[in-house]
Amino acid sequence: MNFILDQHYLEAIAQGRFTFAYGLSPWLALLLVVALVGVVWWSYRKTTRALSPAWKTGLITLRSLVLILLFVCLLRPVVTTEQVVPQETYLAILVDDSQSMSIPDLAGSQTRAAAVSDLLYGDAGIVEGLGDTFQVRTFRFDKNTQRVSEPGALTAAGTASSLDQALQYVDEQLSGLALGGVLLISDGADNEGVDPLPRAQSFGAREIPVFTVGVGQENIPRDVGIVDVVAAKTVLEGSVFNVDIALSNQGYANRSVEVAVLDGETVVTTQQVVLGDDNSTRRVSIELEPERREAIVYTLQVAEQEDEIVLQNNRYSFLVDNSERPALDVLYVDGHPRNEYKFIRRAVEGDTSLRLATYLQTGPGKFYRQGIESALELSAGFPTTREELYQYEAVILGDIDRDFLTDEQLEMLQDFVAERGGGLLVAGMLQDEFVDTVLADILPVTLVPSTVLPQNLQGGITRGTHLTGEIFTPKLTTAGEFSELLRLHSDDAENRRLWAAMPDLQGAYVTGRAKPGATVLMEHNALQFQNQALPIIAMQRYGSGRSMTITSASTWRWQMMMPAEDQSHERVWRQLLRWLSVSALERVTVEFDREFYHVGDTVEVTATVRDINYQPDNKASVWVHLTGPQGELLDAAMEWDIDRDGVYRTSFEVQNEGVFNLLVDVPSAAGEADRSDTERMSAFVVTPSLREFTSAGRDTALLQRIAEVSAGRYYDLEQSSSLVNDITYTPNAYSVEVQEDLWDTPALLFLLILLLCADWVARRFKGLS
Amino acid sequence: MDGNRVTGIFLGRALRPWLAVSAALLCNASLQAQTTAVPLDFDPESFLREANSEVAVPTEFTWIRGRYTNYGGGGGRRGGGFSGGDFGGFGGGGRRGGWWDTDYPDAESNFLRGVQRYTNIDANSKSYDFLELTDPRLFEHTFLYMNMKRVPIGSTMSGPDFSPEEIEAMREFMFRGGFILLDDFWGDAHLEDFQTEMVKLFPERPLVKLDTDHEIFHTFFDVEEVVQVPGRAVTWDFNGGFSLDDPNYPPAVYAILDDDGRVMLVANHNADLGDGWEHTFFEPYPTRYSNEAYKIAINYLIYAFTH
Repeated sequence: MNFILDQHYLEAIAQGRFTFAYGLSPWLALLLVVALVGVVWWSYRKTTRALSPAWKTGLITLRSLVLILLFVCLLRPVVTTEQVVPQETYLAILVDDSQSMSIPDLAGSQTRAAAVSDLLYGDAGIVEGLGDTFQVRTFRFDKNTQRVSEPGALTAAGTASSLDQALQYVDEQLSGLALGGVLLISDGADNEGVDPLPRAQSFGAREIPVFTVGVGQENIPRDVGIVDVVAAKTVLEGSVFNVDIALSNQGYANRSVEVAVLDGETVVTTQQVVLGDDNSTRRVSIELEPERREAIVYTLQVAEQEDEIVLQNNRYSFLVDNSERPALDVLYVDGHPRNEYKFIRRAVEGDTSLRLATYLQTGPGKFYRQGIESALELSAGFPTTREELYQYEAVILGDIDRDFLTDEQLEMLQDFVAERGGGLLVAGMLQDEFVDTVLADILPVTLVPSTVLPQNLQGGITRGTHLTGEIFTPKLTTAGEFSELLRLHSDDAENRRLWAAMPDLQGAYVTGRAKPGATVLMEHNALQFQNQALPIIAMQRYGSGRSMTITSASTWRWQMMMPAEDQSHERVWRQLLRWLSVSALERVTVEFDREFYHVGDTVEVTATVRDINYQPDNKASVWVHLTGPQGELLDAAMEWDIDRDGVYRTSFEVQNEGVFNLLVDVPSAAGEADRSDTERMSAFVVTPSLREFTSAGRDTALLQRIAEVSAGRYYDLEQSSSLVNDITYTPNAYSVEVQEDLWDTPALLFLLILLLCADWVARRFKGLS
Repeated sequence: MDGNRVTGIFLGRALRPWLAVSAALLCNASLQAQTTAVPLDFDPESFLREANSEVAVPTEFTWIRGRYTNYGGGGGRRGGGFSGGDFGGFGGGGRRGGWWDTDYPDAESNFLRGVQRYTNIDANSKSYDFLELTDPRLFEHTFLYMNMKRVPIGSTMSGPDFSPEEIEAMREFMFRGGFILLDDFWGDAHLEDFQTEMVKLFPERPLVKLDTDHEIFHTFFDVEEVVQVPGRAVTWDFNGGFSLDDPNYPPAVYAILDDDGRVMLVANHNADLGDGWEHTFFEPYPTRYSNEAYKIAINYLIYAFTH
């Protein structure tokens, strides 16, 4: 028992839970008090020495207070409090053990974890105090939760924090027991994205208060940190790519800092970055060119600043998969030798992400093949079987006659786009005989017989004085200007300037209007058909694939009429052909549930498998072969997801940092002639986590809300001295009402003695007996 | 040199090259090139009607002959200045001292008719033109033919002497993707002149002598042997000291390659393709050599359209 009244007594009194055990009528009690005062006044009516009225009043008051106090004690005052029965109720202590707890932002550069350890297990550790009343269960948590029994179990190494998960774990572990409360000690930095408030409310509804203790400073006073990095996960042709970095800053406003990019221990490049104002984020872009054809882990390093508190967020690692991968196969057939053919070939020749296999009719019955991988490829002309055609991701039709393709081949081409997801580009004049074929359905423009065209639109693409053969300035539509297909520069203004400098085209052939679902990227600046500018480049989705038309055969002028070093023609054609082919369905695709992982994370791998006709395959046998950074191997069968056609899943936990290479194989396709597309290599990286050091300031508001909705209470770490008492006396589901006598409290006795002493001294001072 | 036009007099001779080339087509087959069908329905009379009634229908392809600066300051015969018949411009004065238009336009007309007949290239017998090398319109085309003749052999009184502007235009033309065919230069003296001009054109690139296993000899026909296609004036017709297949003038094909190994300039030494085309219908000119001139040049064209 404390010397003075405990806080919970005062609160109980304030809440009206104060009574007298001998239930005297208040009026009678009041009457007796008045009588007591009256008796005292009467006894002082005559005194042995003369007293001034003031002294007399003072002495009467003192004596009256003594008697009233004794009278009150005789009435046996009691307060009613809620208490648990000692050792019959459980209390869970949840301790944040994530990396952010290692931040030394407390007085004397003490880490948050050390301060919490003091609070729990120090000289006046609350674990012991609470243990007097509760069965205490202590848990550490980060993104997972475990029970701990000693201070050494706290390592501040968790790579993420989930308050909700921690509360849920306690709920599950202690369900069925008399859980009387939860003490949550954390910096409140929750980065798992699940709101803990609903669960806290649930605790509150079950009368289990959650007490929260906030650790750390709300704002880290001095820190530069990498908060976000965006980089291409895969690089298409070993070319240059950009890494976009967001740098946060507190306490180093407008300072120039060095950002370095490392490949292992080798510095690849450095860049000076001027930080913004305090509490602002600065975004910078660094250009990188991978030097090796493999998965590369780059590390960004921001130079350490003086007095910087958090250094962990100065480094960030990310994976760029620059490994060799098969080129996208594009089949290009053309009906006659022409400049367009020559320069399309030249444009993609240096692009290792594309393979252009061409079949050119050089003369009557005479053909010339280029870019073929074997003497057999295209030896019989345009593919006659789906298996042969489906080896390509895209098909380009140049100036071909109708008899170049049979009806069966055209229908196969329709399936190639609609089902296999391939791309089809028609980059030549189409004879009227094509109007009634499936091509008319696939293409983004309507096909109109030339005989119904107005006179001014007849003439075709050959040089001449007719309007459709004239030189014209192609016009980019809004969609074209911002399309990645026709982008000449990432900057809008520069892109416009470059396109304005592009040479004119010559000759356009008229197919008809663009279809409603098509996107026109480029159109004729002067000629119209049915009140719509003639589409020069148009595209659309068709089934699973894409189709496109280019209705001029003169894009080669963008090469011959520009300086030799200009790469605009090459860039446009590479972008067009990549777009056309890159979304073609693959026999096997592999996806991960996250961009990157940390040690201890579970990696969820999803593979989508298609059969030889590119239909989802639910009967495949699918294996995953994993090679870890230490050479560790794992082989596992993937299981079909019964809810999704062709989808197979598996998962595993990663224990080391580094690059993990993964091969998904479909042994059930063993009987097929070409199995190269039934294996898929992929990679993911396990890196140190930044999350715990991003926005690592104490989230007081969240912790306060948790306490509030669960009828608990929030404490700053420095104000947690009353914690044990508060938890003990805060009502919970297992509290019982206890009446406590107040008459024997030391405070009352002390008050009585004080009053008697004052009375005695005063009487002696005035010479009274 | 004036060419022989297709007339009834040479009807018999006129058929020879087409039939001969067709026969060659039958015999040749390459890995990449499949055998074409012979035009079995070939009708000589309709062919002649066709040839005589041809009008300048615009085509996608235009054969361009280059006009250049000559030693002695000549820019070529056409357009005025000294012109002395077949030897016009010999040691000529001003810009008119060259041989750039040798065989023009009959050689072009005949060759293009062959191109039209045997390939799918959009061309006809009128699809030719000539341009100054420095004419910006050069870049609207992708194939350039030039005659490198210098008369007499060893003389420095005529022949190409490319100016810096012409050098720059040709370099840029080829770097952008254009293809140049040089023709009609003979003997060591011409070869040295040619090499001098090539060093001016590409001091950083070597001249490469092409073997017949190079792709350029197999793009359409399979050319197994580089033949000494005779020039009418300097080899046999005028008894200029040469004889057919003269071993003192071994035919060779030189090339300059771009950074990717593609041929961007090809030159026929000790051969006169122009005469081979021009004299297609000239009775005394040996048919075999016309055939070879067509075959190798069609291969060059197809190569230029595919590389």
